[in-house]
Amino acid sequence: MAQQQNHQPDWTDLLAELKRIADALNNPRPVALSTEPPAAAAGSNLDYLVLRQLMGRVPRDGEDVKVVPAGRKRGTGGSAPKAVLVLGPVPEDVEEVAVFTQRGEPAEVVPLGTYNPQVSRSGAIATTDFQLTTVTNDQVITRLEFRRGEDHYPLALGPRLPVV
Amino acid sequence: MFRSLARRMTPPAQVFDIHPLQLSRWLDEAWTGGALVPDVGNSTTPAGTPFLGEPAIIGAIDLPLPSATGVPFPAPSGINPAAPDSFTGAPIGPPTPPLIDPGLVADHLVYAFLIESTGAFEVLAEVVRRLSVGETLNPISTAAHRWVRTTEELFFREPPLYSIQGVLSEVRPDQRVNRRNAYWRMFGLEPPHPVPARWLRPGIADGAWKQDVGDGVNTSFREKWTELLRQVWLGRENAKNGIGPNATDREYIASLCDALRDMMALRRRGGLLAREEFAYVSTLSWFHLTLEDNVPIVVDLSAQGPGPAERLQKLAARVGMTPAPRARELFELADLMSALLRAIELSVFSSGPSVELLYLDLGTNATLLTDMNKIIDLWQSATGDRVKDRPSGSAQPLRLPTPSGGNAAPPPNGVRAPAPTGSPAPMGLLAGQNGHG
Repeated sequence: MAQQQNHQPDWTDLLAELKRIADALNNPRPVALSTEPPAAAAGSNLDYLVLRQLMGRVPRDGEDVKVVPAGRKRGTGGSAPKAVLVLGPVPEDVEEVAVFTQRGEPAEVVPLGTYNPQVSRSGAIATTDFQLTTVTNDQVITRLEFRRGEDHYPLALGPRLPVV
Repeated sequence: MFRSLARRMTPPAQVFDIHPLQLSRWLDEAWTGGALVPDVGNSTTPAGTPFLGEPAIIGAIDLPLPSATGVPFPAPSGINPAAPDSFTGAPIGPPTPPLIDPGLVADHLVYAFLIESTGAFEVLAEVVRRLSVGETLNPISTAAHRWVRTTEELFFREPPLYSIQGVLSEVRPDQRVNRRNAYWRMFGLEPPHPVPARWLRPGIADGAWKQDVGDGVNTSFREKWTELLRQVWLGRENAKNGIGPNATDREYIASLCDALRDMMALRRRGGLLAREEFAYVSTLSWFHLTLEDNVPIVVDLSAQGPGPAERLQKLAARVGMTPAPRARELFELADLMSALLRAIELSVFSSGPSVELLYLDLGTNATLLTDMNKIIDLWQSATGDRVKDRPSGSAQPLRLPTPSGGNAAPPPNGVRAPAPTGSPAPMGLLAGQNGHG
């Protein structure tokens, strides 16, 4: 006769599982959401969004100005001035910004650390300059990608870029 | 193309105030700017996948850049978006100088095809003709006169010498035939309306655009495109299936995307059709832009309306013509389909996980889902292809799709568009009487 083992339930795990079930029941979503899409698929989604931007599909009217929080500006000094990334608020969970100048791997990844700009009392959105170390002013930045830090998972498209 | 330039102006209609010489030169600048368009695509995409079949095609035929700093750019447009009636003496600058911004990604050839299918080109050609030869239309304002002059100069006469627009010459003397030739080769489709009799040149037969194309016709484009939409809709229907059968086959959808990509790549070998695509997309974007707002020519001819299709309808009525009955869908479809085909050509949807973005709510792909849903609805409505019908038997065919169709013999003259099996005369529904007097 097989000896029955005495399992001690892990109450923390059990509680987490019950909470997950409760969340799923309260907020039913497609099956696919049960797991995060692969990074390549998430990247494909961002590819499409970048393409829309570069084809001028995103309304431009004043957006570059109003959304200012994002963008890049000319660096100063030096014979080959490096570009400067100007960031406003970023989505939650974003821990780094990947700067692309061509297909494939990003030219530079900017760790954001504890970056968390606040809206001032006057309503102005604070921005922070990040001096890039690789990308220079004469390089075309094609995509800014907000990523998670631990696995570089692409979370969202960065600030929109101006088109010709 | 011209719509992108217009977006830099406030209001956008100010683009019609720019001198045609400057606009013509700007097209060359935009062509050169295409070289600044970097590779878009994720890291799984093969490097070097071009937009235009051959990345070097831009440099091969563009204007030479000055060899030294301080030497003026040859024939600059001198456009100043803030002052359209001025000349700066330099190429148009980036919106955020002195940084170099990404170049313009030109629309896909399908954009030109869909806008042309609305009948906009022929209707506005007749407007220009009537305003130029007689007094059958209302007197128009000076602003509208400027539009008429620019439109005639840019699109209804021989293009300027050595311009990127110069896809008209002794070897291909008719712009309507030339455009249809490109549509026919890339999609195996042609606009639903015939070339109006008034514009038929002596010695050029109806269907001349099919001559001498050799094996280079993508005759199965429509069949594969419609199948792609059908499969995506199937995926959408089954997106929330937790239990039971699910006929969605993501790898099959990826194969369809690859077949479409390879099919179009066959027509782009070595940069073929790159210049033509640029020129035709530019041309049709001018007419699209004219109809996008109540601009002076629209107002002067009492053709105001809520959208381009309504304005086109009224303008057509002024000159005794009828636009495509589904012009509204075609206008809306043009932008969406153009972006999606560009993405497909860039292998963005070449894997099973990636194509799930087209029909599954993955949390971050709301834009793509919406675009795809609209494309399906608009294509079905515009063409009559019953995309949402459920297939009988197996949801997928026995054989995987291939890019074949490029080597098949084109249908005989008179067949307007290849119809996928089971579809009721698709382009006939789209055709109507657009472009006819």
